[in-house]
Amino acid sequence: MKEVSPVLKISAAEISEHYLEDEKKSDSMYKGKVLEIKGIIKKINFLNNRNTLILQGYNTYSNIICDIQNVNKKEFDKLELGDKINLKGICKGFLKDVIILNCVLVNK
Amino acid sequence: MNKIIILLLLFNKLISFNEASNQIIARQGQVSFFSYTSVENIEAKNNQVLSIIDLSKKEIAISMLMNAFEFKKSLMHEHFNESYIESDLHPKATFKGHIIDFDPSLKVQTRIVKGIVVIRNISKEIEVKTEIQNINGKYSIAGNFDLSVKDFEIKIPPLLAPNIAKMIAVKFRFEYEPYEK
Repeated sequence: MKEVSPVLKISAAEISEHYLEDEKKSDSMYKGKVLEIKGIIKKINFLNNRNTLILQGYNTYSNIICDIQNVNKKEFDKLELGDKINLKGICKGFLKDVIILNCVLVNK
Repeated sequence: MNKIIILLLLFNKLISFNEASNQIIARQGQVSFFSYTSVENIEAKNNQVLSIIDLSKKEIAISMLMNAFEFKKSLMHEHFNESYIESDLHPKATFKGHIIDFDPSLKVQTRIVKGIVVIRNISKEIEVKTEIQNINGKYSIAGNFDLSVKDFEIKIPPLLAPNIAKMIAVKFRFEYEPYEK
C-alpha cells in the first residue's frame, strides 16, 4: 500500500457527505479504490486488537473508520486527537460510517 | 392554537429523544467465520460490523460489508467475494431479530436471539444463543452458530468442494456505546 498511488484524493468530510447523500453513487465512485484521505483524528482505538483511527466525518454521527495496516508503532503512538493527517487505504463502502481498510499514513 | 402546536412539537421531541437514548451502537463489532476440512482451514474476520440494539424494544440489527472480511490469503478473499458471495451484487449481509426475555438491567445473561439473517439476498430464520454483559451500562454481546453453505445457494466448483466445509462456524462479538442522534 505504501507504494501504491491513490486513484483520488478527498477529504474525510467530503467522502462522508457524499455517502450520506447517495450511497449507491458513492460506491460507484469510491468502492474498491485506493483513496488518499485528509482528515482530523476524532478517536484512536484498539478494538479487536486492531489499530483504528476514526476521522471526523460530515456530521457527528457519521465518521470514517480507518483500519491501519502493518502499524509503525513509533509513528502511530505520536498521533493525537485533533491531529490533521493524510492516509491511504481501500474504500470498502458504507454502513453508518465510511469504512477504509489497509490504511497507511502518508507523510506530508 | 399556537400553544397546542408548541406542546405537540415538544412532545414529539421528547418521544424521539427517549427513543434515541434507548439505543446502543457498535460500529466496530467483530464477526469471524471458520471452515474446517481435512484439506485446509479457512478463517476470515470482519472488524467493522455495525450493530444497533434497542434496549426497550429488545431488538437487535446487524449489518456488515462482505468485502471487508480479511483472509490470510488474498486468493481466498478473491474467491469469497467474486465467486461465492458475489459481493458486487450483494454487498451487505444483515440480521434483524429479537432478544427473547432480555432484561437490560442484568449484569450477565444468556439469551436466545431469534431473527432473520440475509446473505446474498436470501433470508433464513435463525436462533442463536448469546451471552450478554452489562458492565456499568457498557453492553457487549457474543456468541456463535453454524450456517449451511447450501442454504444460501453458494455455488462451489466440484474441484474446490473438498476444501470448503458444508457448515460454516460463525463467531461474533459486539461492544456497544450509547447511540446519540
